[in-house]
Amino acid sequence: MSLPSGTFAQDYAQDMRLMRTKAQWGSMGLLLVFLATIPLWASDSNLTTATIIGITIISVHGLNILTGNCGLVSMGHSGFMMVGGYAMAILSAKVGLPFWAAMPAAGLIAGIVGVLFGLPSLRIKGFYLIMATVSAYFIIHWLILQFRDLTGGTDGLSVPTATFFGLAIKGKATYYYLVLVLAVLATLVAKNILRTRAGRAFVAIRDNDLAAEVMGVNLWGYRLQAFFIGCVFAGVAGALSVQYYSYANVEQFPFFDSVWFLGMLIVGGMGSTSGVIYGVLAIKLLQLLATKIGPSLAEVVNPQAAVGLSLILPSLAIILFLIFAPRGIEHIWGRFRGYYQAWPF
Amino acid sequence: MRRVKSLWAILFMIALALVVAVSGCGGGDATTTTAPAPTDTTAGSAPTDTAAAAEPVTLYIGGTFALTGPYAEDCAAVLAGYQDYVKWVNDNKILAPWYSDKTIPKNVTFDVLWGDDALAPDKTLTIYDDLKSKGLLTERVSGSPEGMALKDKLMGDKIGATSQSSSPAYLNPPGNIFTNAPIYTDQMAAIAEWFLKGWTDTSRKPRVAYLTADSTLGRNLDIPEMQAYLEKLGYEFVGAQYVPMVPTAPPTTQLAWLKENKVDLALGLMINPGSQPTIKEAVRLGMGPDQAYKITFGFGYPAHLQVFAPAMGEQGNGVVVAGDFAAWESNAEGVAFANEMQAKYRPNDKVTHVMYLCGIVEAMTQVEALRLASTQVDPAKLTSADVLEKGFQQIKDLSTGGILVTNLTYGPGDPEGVDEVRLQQVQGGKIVELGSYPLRGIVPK
Amino acid sequence: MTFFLQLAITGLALGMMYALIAIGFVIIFKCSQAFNIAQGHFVMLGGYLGYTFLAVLHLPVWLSIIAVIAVAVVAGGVIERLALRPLVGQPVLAVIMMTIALAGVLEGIAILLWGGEYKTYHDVLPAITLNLGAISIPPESLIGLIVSTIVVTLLMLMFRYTKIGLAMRATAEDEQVTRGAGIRATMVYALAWIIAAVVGVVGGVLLGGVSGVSIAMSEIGLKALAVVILGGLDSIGGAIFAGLMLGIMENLAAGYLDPLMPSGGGLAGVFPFIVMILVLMIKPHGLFGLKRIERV
Repeated sequence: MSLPSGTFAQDYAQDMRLMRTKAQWGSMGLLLVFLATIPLWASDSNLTTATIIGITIISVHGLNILTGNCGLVSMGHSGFMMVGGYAMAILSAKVGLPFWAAMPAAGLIAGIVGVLFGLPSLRIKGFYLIMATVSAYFIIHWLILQFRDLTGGTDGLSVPTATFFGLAIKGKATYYYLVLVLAVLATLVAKNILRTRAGRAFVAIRDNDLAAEVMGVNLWGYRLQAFFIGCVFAGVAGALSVQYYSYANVEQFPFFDSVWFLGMLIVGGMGSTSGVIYGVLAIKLLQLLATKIGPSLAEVVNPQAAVGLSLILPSLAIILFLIFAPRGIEHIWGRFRGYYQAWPF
Repeated sequence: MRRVKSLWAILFMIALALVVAVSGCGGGDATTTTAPAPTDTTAGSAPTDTAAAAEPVTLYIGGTFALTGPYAEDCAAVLAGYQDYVKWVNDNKILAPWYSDKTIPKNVTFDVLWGDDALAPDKTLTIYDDLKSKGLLTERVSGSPEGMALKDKLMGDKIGATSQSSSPAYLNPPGNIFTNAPIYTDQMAAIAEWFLKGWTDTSRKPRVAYLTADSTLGRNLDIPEMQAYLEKLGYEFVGAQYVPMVPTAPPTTQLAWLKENKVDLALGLMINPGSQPTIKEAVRLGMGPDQAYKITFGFGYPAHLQVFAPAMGEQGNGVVVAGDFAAWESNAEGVAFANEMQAKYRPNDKVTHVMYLCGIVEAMTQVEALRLASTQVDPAKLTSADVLEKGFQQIKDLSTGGILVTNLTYGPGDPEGVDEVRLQQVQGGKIVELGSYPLRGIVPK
Repeated sequence: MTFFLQLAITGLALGMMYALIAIGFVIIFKCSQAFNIAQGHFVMLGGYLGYTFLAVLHLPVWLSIIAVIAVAVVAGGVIERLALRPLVGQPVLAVIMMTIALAGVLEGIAILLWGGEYKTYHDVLPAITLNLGAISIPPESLIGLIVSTIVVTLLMLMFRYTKIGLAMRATAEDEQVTRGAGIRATMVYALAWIIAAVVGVVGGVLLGGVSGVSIAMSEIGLKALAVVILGGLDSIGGAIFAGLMLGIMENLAAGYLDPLMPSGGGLAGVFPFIVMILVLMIKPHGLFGLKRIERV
């Protein structure tokens, strides 16, 4: 990280701090104030978008740890969100667990399922692992539809409104704050996981797994850990999404979402925590744009223009980034900052 | 250097996209303020008279349409019906040509608000929020999964919705998803009764099985009450086979199973992209009323014979569909009305899909609900609860000019509009009416 | 017995389609080590093109086929040149995401051009059905059989007797050496994509004629990836064998196991993926795939 001149670290703890300068504290504070005031001025539909973006950020943080840092590409991430979502729905609607207990449980269940499907990662990687995670998605999808008594099958499952120690989490603004707090928390956790021993092991495995093993990194343990952590994030996000709609349905977690999640990593910048946020914002806003301008294009093209565009715009963004800026927005932003910090040199 | 330039090009594009997206949202906010009623303090007393001189008011109808995915062709036709009907009502200020008393106040114009949900429940809910914030006081449901997803929201927000799907689940309280086709289980019951009338073999019971779409739509009939009713009628129930909503390979396995289990009547809910390949494959396997292996296929109304018969021709002979709209060839007043609108508003691209008629019926129902409610409340101050309670639930004997088999009547807890099930069959490649059957109320209201 | 045979024969038909898609994938992988997830979308594109030329423009069948092939050649070439060429040497994920994003663009364009509706052109192509006693052989299996036989024969002839075929085989073996020998590897890549596009699109025209065209057609491409994994990424013979096997097994599983499932089964949809994950756990390089030894 490039810092303004005159910033010194006198001990290790200081050097490792996330926030080093007053300016950083200030801008972070401003950002948080901005995020906290969104419900005061945004319309209902914009609040929905903000909430969904928050949920997606939580999920993609998990994928970033798994794929961006440990190098294990998962194209079944929305399947693990589905596990979390259904765990939430079943635990709160059928078992009657309160929200604060059901959500962590949903994350945990998704994590365990993730480890199960992560087992092949011990032997395979690259394309083969991608295919294993694709099948994981379809197998999860199928199992949920089969166990109809438990999951409601194709009909889906209604979920009661969450209560948090007697307080009903009702209304968009309340739910937005819940998601906001969790998203900020997830960002912090994700950032810090990467600064632990495990996080460094993940990066070593990504860069060269054979070399990492020779250096004494336990490949099996860390790969499964990465799957577990990544899928816990996915599970929590899935649970939040189901709770938000107070309804669980397999169609809520389409296969292509997993692809968009990877696309978000590419656009944002693979492996970087802030890149996740940029990527989610970019892809989600492009999809929103397509939905917004779709109806006005209906006259010119055809009524399905919105859906066509919501496929084309993000796909094109991914293609352009892959060709011209494979390191994503994070890298572009970093270069831009480096440029103006060093200006006029 | 070239690479750096292209980086900037990408950045610029994304920035541009963001700006447009944000301004698009801003545009959405602007429309939320639906025509503030300025000085009219006599709201509710005699609105039609005072409102005539009052500020112009735009009332919205519409909702979510699944324009992509399996229901695309149906929903596109429905949307066309909505759009044409709204133009006609704005031009003529009356509900339908066969009414003289149901006039629309001069200051009220209608417009359609819609979004494409691509049959995804989460998109449905996002679009629902969006349209609600733009001032839509009604809603529509394009398929059973969306109906299931919207049910609780509609109840919480007190919004009435029209629907092109008629899942038995809509009969559960609060019953504010109003259907114009009979509930699917009632459609199946009608086919079962019709088939029994032609059953001459007294030595054994007819064997019935479900051959239905593997989706929320198809599984609507898979409830214990349905099976119990079929057994009560005198059928032997064999089991169920599920065909993908839009099969990517012909459903040979499922059909071979029916043959293996000696099924006489196969009942199911399928859309055209499902029923066409299924029947094609059945004919190829020698299964059908006129084929070597005798079996009758009965489908619910999403299999629209109006689309099915022209595409399949003689191959489709014997297929029965329950609960559908009048045929384009029928001389019903409503069909003539539809043709007249098409000639006027889309002279060059006539919609041939029968769901255009559904669009007219739905739009008419929503307009009637808004009209009824605005006879009691100032149209500028209408709330969705008014439209539900003083509109939808008060609709009595609304004539669709014969597009539907009976007039529409709704009430609190009564979202099933029609009172009979119309049966149609393909004979010699043409659609033939088999008469209509009473509702059996398989799922109690 | 009839039930069994009927299932097996229908499975064979499906298997032919799988094999056709898998061949396209394998050709691209062999020549350029790129994973083409969009192969199923070539099939979808073929269906829509077939609909346009046969049902909308009413061209004769032979002319339509030529037109469709021409479009496929252009599409394959353009995709390779503009999208894949810049990614030579990039990590696996980049190539896969590129083909998936291309699939997204293709699907989006198809929606914009043709709408989301289900289209049919049943009556245009000759319906061929063979009846063997109580079992009838569906037209797709005959079509699949004919097309894949033609495709495989042509490819064999090309690989064996033409200069470009030799270049392709050499590139598949060792790209560096081939470049050293003065063969233009880029041309080989382009050709591989063009062949894959043509194979996919022609299969799509025929499949569309039998079971109609919709966006959902591309899903078969995802299922066909199981075939590629089972047969081995770089074996054309493996693709054909695994395709047939998987098609038959899938149908038998659906026929016999579906009624035993708690909620209707639907095994046909998930069966290839179950096979895929089992193969990946037991024999990741497939039945006929080349094992590669990794060196640091």
